[in-house]
Amino acid sequence: MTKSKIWVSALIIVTLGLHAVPVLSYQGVGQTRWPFLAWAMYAKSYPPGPVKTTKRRLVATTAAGADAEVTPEMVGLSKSTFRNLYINPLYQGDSTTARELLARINRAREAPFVAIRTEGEIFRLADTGLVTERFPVLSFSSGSPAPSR
Amino acid sequence: MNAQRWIERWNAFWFPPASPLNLAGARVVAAATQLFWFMPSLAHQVNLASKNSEFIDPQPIIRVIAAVIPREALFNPTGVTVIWWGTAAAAVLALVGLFTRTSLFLLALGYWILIGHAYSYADVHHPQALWAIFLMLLPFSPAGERLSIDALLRRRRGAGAGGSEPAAGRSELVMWPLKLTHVLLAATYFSTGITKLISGGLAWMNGYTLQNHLLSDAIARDIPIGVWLAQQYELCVLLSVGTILFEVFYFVSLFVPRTAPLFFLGGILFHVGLYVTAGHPFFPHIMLNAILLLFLDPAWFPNRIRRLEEALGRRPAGAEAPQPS
Repeated sequence: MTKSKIWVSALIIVTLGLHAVPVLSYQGVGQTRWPFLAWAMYAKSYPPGPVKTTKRRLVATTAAGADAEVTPEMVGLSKSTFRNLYINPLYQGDSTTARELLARINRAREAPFVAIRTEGEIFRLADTGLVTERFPVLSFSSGSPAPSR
Repeated sequence: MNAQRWIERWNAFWFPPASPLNLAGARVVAAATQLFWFMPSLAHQVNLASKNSEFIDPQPIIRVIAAVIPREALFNPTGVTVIWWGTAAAAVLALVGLFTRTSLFLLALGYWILIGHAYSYADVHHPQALWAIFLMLLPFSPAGERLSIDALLRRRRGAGAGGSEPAAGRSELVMWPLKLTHVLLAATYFSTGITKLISGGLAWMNGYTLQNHLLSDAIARDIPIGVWLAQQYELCVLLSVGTILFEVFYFVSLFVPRTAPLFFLGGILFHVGLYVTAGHPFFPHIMLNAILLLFLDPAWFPNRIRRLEEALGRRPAGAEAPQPS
């Protein structure tokens, strides 16, 4: 075996071996070994029953009454991180996180947002097609300690 | 089986003699794809760098860099812009094959840094991982032996020094990057498929599972065809079974090479289908399957090049026909 082949063989073994690491010490969703990842994607199975999903978003309002959807790009985060850090807590009525989000999106804004609210829908498959229901709206203002419905 | 026999088998699998054209073709396709399609969004990189003051879950390459260079010194809008343009420049050089090994390494390194940076804010996705590894394998292989300015300069220097133009020889070191990519694809597909079966058993193929996954992604990404497909129960059962069969048995293409083109074509269609119906952007897997389809067979691509040269009158018919491996 030539020297080149020995080096390449070592590289092959290392590359394959590194893929075993995330499998042997599984980190779940928050993997920190990119590009050597565990490939457990969409593994969850669902029993027979209702097929449904949700779509949730946050909308901010300025003092003049102008609305704008708060997007992950607006705060410099990815969609899933934005969902975990902000959408989920606000849907649970977390006014502290709402104020923190308002402060974050108001950095360098000339017309600051003064309120933020949740909006969203539940989509359900039925014999008649796709049925849509609205989530109740939770509103948070920059000065109020608790959300209002 | 003794050690010598294992080594012979190892060599036979990873190091079959083949034309350097296959690897060179793969390099050209990979560099062009990277340059014109897969460059990470610069606006997204700048947005992440400017709106975050620290990493949330830094990836390994970012941890290594941040251990030497403070985050604010490199991962700021100017720093990521310089890295982005440096990576693009390396992609151009890798495409034309100038300083090929160095440019391929810089291209792969830049891509690793950019993707690693984007995924250091607590959000990791799979599409780019194998592509990044494939890019990083190329600098360690003779990917610039053919179809490159480097090769042209070497031939001219040889001719200028009174030597004849070196024949397009065969090498044992030109197939391993493609073979390793094939093995990694098979391993990751198998891992994905078997995890579904271990996690949910046969229930993953009950139709409801795919309906739920499809509806969730199609609604989130506003994909009407996905919403429609999620309402077709029988079709979802069939597609679930097809998904498991494809993912779990893709590795058969390693041991029965005749079936490999079918699996590569299947892989391309599988990911196109996932994108059209659920918005999953596994474009790198589409390209990896396409590269394997075109270049893993040692004879197919060199034969096409030979026929092209014959048609252009640059080579007498039948000359230097590739040998079977």
